Parts: sequence; C-alpha cells; structure tokens
Amino acid sequence: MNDSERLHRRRQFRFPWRSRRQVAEELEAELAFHIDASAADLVAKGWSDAAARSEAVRRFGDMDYTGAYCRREDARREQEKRRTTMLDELWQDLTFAFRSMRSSRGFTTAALLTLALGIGANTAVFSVVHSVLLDPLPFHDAGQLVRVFHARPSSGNLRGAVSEPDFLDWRESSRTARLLARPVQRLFAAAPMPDLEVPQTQTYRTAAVRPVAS
Amino acid sequence: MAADSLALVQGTVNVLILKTLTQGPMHGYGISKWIHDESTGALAVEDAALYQALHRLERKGLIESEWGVSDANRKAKFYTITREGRKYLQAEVAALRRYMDALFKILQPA
Repeated sequence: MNDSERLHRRRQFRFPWRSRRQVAEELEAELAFHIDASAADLVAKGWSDAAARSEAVRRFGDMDYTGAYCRREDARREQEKRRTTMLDELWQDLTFAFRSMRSSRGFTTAALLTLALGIGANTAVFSVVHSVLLDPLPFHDAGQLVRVFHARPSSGNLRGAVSEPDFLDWRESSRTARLLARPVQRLFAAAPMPDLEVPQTQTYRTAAVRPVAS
Repeated sequence: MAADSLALVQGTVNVLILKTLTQGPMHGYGISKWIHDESTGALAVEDAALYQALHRLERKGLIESEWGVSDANRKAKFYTITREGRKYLQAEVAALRRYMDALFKILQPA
C-alpha cells in the first residue's frame, strides 16, 4: 500500500460517504476508462489511434448529459447514505446511553436529581428576575419612557430632583420628547393611597394609562 | 453498434444490466460488450443510456460498485448485483414474460 492509498483509506474510514468532488472525479475516471477500453478494442481491429478514439466517443452518445445525470444520481445516493448513517448512529448512541443508564442506577439517579434541582432552582430565580428586571413596564411604548434628572456636576450630584419651573421650561422647549410629564411619587403603586396627591393628568397621558382611581 | 439493432425501452435496460451482473462483478464497458455479444448485435444499449441506468440502479440499491483492476491492469469501477437487485430482476422477468405471452396470444395466429 503506497502513501496515497493509505491516505485514501483513512479518509474513507472517517467518512463512509463521498464528497461532491470525489463523486465527480470518480465518474470522470469511470467514463474515461470506458472510452479507453472501447478505443483499445477498435485499435485491435485495425483502427488508427485517433480514429478509434473519436469513434469511441461518437458511439458513447451524449456524454455531457450522461455526466450530469450520473452526478445527480450519485449525489442523491450519497445524501441518502449520509442520512441513514446518521440516523443509525443516533439510534446506536441512544440505545447505548439507555443501557448504560440502566446498568448504573445510582449514578443515573444522582444525575437526574441534580438536573431536576438545577432546572427547578433556575426557573424559580428566573421567574423573579424576569418580572422584576426584564419584563417591560406595563405602559404603552414602555421602551420610550425615560426618567429625567437634573445633573449638578459642581456639587457632584448627577441625579438631582427637577424643580417645577425647570420642568415647565423643559417641556416648553423640548423638541425630542413628545410629551413631558412631571414624575409623581409612587407612580407604580398598585393602587393609589387615599392620601396621595391626585396625580396630574399629564403624567398618565405620557404613559398612556388611565389612573386606577382619582 | 449496428444501426438496425432494436431500440430498447428504458425498463428493459435495467433488466438486461441486472441479468448480466448475475454472472459476477463487471465494469460498464464489460456489461455493454456482453449484452452486444450475447444478442449477437441485435440488441443495442447505447453507452450513454447504460451508464445512466447503472447510476440509477446503484442509487436504488439494486447494484453496488467498487473500484478494482481490469483485465488490462487498469483501475475500473466494478458493479455487483445486490440481493434486492436479484429480487427485482425475478419480479421484472416474470412481469415481462406475462406481458409477452399475452401479446403473442393475440399476435401469433396472424
């Protein structure tokens, strides 16, 4: 066995199916063999080399169409082979997994318990995180809603409260914000407390919700 | 191949190839030659049609191929008939025979 044959074998061992290029090369070699053998027989009957060759090609018929047809058939076959090989292997893996799980019950139980607890804990934590952090606020266009601060860098306070006159000025001059409403404390309370100051309607219009009670 | 040899219906090519391969592995050129010689040139399988049929039959799993060495010591692709191929051949030959019998029952007295 020479080097190229050894390489070829190893590749065949790894992939029981052929690549598109391999299919085309093998078909070319097969048809070339046919033409050569056909021409050789004609030469044996007394034809000249060149004449025998062109006669062999003529006798073959439509070479281009046949090539395309055979490549298509081969490609389909490789595809089917690949699919059945993969299904077979998958089935083997599954049965093997099942058998080894049955033979070592202690390990299987431990693994299943770990998985069950892990998934359960994860779900519990995530459902809290989801409703607290990830769920959009229950307003129309919640992604457009922003909270505005008054930054005073000189005093190091970047999240200062906004005074009423500033707020009115901003509302007057803002071109980017569609509506500007004054933030109301406890806007997100489930129900307004009886002693809560009656919310300014502008706040609710901005968030496009109706007050629970007013 | 002789110009006056009979043209073949597609299904017949399959049967001829399978029948030829029941003798053992053969390459495409060998099959073509054998059919031609056995029918003393009366049946013409065009080489193009032969190779199309070979690859079609292989895809259907009725024959298998393997690279080997030809008589002239060259690498050639050899075809072998599979078990499904033999079953298919038997069924097809039986169907062809029924068809021919029925046909000749009508044509013979003429």
